Amino acid sequence: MKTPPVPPATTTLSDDQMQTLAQSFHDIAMEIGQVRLSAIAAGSRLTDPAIVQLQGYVYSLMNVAASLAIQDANLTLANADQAVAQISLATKAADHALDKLQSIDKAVSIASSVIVLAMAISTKDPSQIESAARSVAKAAGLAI
Amino acid sequence: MRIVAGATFLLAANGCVNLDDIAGLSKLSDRARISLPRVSNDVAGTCARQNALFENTPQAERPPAQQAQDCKPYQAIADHLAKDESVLADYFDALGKLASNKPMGYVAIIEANVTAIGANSSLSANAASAGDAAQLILRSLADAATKGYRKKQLGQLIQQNDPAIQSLTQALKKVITADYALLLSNEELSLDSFYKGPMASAQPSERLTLILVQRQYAHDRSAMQFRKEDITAYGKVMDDISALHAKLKQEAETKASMVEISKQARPLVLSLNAALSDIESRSNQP
Repeated sequence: MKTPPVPPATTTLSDDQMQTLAQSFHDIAMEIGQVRLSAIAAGSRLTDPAIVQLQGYVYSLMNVAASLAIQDANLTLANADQAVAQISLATKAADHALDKLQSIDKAVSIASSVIVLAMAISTKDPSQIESAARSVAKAAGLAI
Repeated sequence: MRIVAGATFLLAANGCVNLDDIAGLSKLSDRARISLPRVSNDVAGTCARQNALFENTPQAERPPAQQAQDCKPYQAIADHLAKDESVLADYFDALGKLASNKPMGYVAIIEANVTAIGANSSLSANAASAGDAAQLILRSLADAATKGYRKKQLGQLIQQNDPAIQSLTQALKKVITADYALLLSNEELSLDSFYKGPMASAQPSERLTLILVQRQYAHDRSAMQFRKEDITAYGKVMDDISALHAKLKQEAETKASMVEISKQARPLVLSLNAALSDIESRSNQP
């Protein structure tokens, strides 16, 4: 007789895990902000659509970081340790790829994938988180 | 400072002083009640400033759908921290009163605070931990006041509350040095985005305007630096309160003499006062 599948254990994220996630999103916002400023210094206008889009991502990522820092004491995820590890790996890859990046299009692609990851975290659905983390890593040029 | 230390030692040796004189419990309570909220209130302040920067950014330079931040969660944290800090101040005030044989006598206020400080599920884990510890301390104070604790029960009160004091101070420290620090770092990024973009795209004909904007940017960066220094001082205050209380507990367990307590507590009291002065001096800056 087949044993019924055991649902993955749901765990509340620790303070440190929440802080790590918040810091990751904040760091990516910093990098996106730097790409935007570099592009402006290189001659882009403040109202160029890509510059405005990057500014929007900076705001959104800062909001995600703030929300993780000051709210959601009870954020629970299935396989929390694994999920946090996947998210951390993906966000580190994004952070690394954005460092000194000159291409606005590449920055937009990475930033939008990170925003999708933030939304996936809010759904608490492990498969969505895993898929979104893979997309971030792919956009950053890393395969996980 | 040597004269004060010497006088304290002689008074202690003669048995004329109590724990309040040695550890400065009442003074600590008074100063903490004023200084600590100056730092923690800025959890709400940073949101308001970031929104001001957002609203002063021309609409054409930001996505149309983007909204200013909702500052209510920030305000909720600031309010909660103020209550927790007030509990800490109440506790040291109560210790000071007991040490100098004065009645505690404010049961009604404590009871009201226990209700007011109730858990809020939307708070961060660190803020929630601080709230839980503060509730334990308040209940213990209410109990001590109801039972009419006097000086001889001082050691008992310190021993009972040490775990909650350790938990409260470390949770408050984490909220400020980790959570609030990240919010300030967000504000720093907002500042850079707000000023650096327009400064980089300024035209040669805007030379004088650029100088004014650079000065304003430098001013805002300087205010930011003060706030970061406040974070460090706040963390030091919490570490020192935690260490002082642990020391008092240890001395209470061994029933140490006032001379011994004075010797052990003095470096912590000095360090604590220096950190509180640090915060006070910055809050007096124009």
